Amino acid sequence: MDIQWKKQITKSFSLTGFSIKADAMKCIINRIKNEGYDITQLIENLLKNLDKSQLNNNIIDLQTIEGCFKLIDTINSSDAIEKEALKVIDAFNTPLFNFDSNSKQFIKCENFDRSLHGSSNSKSDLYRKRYLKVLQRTERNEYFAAPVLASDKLKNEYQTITPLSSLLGNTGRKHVLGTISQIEEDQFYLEDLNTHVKIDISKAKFEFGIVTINSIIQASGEFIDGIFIADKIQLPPTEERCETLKFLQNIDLFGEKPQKKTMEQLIKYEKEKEDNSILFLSDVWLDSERVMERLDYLFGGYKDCPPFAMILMGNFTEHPLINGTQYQLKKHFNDLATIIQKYPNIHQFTQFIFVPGPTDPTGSLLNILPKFPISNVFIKEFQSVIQKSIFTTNPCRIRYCSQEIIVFRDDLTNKMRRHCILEPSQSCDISQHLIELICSNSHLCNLTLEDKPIYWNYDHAMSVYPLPDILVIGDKSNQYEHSRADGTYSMNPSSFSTDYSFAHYIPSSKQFYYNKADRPSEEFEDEDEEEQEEQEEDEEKEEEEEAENNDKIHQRDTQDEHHHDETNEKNDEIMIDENEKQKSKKRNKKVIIITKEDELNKLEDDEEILNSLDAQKQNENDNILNEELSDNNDNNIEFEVQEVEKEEDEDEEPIDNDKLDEFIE
Amino acid sequence: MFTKKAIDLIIELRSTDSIPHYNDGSIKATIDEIIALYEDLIKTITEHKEQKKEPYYLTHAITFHNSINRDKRCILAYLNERLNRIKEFRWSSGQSLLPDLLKEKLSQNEIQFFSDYDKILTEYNSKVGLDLTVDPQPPKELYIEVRVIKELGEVVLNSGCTVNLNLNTTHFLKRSDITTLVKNGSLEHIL
Repeated sequence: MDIQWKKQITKSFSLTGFSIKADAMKCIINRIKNEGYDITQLIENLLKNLDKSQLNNNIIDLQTIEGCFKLIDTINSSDAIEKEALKVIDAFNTPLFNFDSNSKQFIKCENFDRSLHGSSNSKSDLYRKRYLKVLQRTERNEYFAAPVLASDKLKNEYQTITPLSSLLGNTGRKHVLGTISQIEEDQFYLEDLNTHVKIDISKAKFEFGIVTINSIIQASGEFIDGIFIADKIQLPPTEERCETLKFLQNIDLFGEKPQKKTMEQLIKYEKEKEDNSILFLSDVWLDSERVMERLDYLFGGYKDCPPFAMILMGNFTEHPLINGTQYQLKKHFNDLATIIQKYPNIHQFTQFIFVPGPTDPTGSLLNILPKFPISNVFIKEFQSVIQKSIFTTNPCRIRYCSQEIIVFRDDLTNKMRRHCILEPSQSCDISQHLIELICSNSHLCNLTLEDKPIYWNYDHAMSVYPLPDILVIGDKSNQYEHSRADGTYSMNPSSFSTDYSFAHYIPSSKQFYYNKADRPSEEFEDEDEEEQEEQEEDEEKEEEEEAENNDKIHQRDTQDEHHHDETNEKNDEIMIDENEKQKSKKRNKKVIIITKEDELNKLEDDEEILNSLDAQKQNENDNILNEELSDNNDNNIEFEVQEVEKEEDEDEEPIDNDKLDEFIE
Repeated sequence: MFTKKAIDLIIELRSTDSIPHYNDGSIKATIDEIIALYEDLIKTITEHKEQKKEPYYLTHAITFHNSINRDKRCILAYLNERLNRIKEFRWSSGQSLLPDLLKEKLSQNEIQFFSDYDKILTEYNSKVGLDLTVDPQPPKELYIEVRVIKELGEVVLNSGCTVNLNLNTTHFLKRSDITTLVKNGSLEHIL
């Protein structure tokens, strides 16, 4: 029997051009014997799922077969795609690609030096790689592309990037691309691959972005007496994401790109799962009681619709843990585990990803990038309880289906502003300048190595090329979000520990929502304060309305629970799928909903209100409602709330903002 | 001169019988040239609609139009010839995998083509139950002597027997069992 099987298997494999090793054969035969597979079907299945791109010769060994069986098993199980959907690529596993200027292509470098202590070559390579990456992109830019027809070339109207070494004796206005450096004090130099020249930036016009030492700039000006006198300085032009991808063809600079077949499945999955959401929290101090309280509260808000993934960025302690106190971190993580366990839904479905912050104890005290994940010692217990948790590096890359997300936790705004050598203009927010610098330099933190040490051999992990779909920078500064023309969405969830703000991302619609886990259960001191907060909330509501004023129904959901019941009663005819939609939308506002519920619980003491609500439920008569409300005139807030409700009930069209303003006033 | 880049492509391909590096740069440059020529052509035609019968504009238009066509033909010929050579490689080597050396030289689309082509061929082969790429010429002997050039370890052969193919050993084996291994260079036929 064996020999016949063997013959059949080898024959099928050799028809596809493969030879099979003895141990692999044994594995297949065993499987047939033990699990009673149909042999032809099994072979067919094997050949279909054999990943040909992974093979490097025609001999199939045990490893390949085992991998193949694994693949078959995952395909058969239902949640395989869910596992594929989210991939975290940590900084030390990011693939390295070098730009080959001869073939004008990125070529993957498989065995690069992986040591943390790079050789002297690594340091110079680091600068060259950064520069080459920007140079190849800039040269492809429309503005610098040489005209195609020879006759047009004669007109001399086009611009080119002049290498610094050919500046001497070359008169006229030139465009150069170089790295700013300060070789000697008080004198800036511009460096490219071959040489450096002095540059005078005092008269330069500079409009957008931040320029620090070491950043790559594009300068225009004249070379006079050994000094390049720049009249205009700008950051090199960025390239749209789709343009870059077109140029790269199928080269995957990001890492973990799924195979074509899985990609199609994933894109389908991404569209179907409208409910999936990703939360971004930065600065989660696990040692602070109030922060933990808010976390608890936040989880409570999401308990019925757990987010797909939750990205928690450090620092995980309020004050850096030094001198042997690091072991406290273990306790803090265990505390977090107990909170998570309180919500079985979240515990079961949510993927937790932890990105360490600058002061977290990960190996050395020095904050060298990329930063290691939090050591296993502190999190062993946590991980045994919360299986769906990944501790990764800073920065890290996350691939959700077809979307690429880069997460980086550092107080960049502050740092960059401190080190900049040209005053950024006041025309727009500093964060916009910052993002411009990051995108144009294709690097997350292009400061000198003295200011921001980076492991030389792992500089490629800091690369932002091609531009990701989403760039998340965990910064202590104010929340910001910028949608750029080149297709990258950058945002900062701000510090959770300071103002409890976090970002809620829905990948299927590529929408970000910014919420605050505010006021879980505190008592209010007086009416005035409450009123003020109420107003704030109304304002918030208003903003939400602006964002999506077409969906009226869910708006009511945000009002209060009772009311929600009522709407459901009222809208019995609403189709089920619309309800579904409603639910998914409702989730975005979950946190706010709860705030309001709490508030209403407090107000329940007031019998009158309950009556009014009941009355509202029963007959929906606006007149009666008005009368009852007028009885309660002494309580302004409730009046306001219900006025707003009523108004929303009455007209199905978006609320006039002016009217709401009047109410608030 | 127009179409210079395109002609260079063809010359480059003709200079060798193997598959040269995919010249992405020249192809892109040629496409850019086509676009530039086309725009110029459209401009001349629309600007001088009235004088279109005049030989000056007529020759201009024809030159540009022919250049565009030539560019196109050159690129298509280049791509087609490469595809033919890739197909030939599949038949002559009998491999369903591209060796790394060759893979570097192909564009992503060509690699895709190869794997698709391979898929069709293997599907046909397994339906017929015969590897068509083996023995295009009738073989003379049933058993041949081979030397192992690449370490393979224990390998199961088509006839179901297991052979230990260690480096530098020689074996006297059934020809049909090992033709694929000889073709992909793991074994060497000793004459």
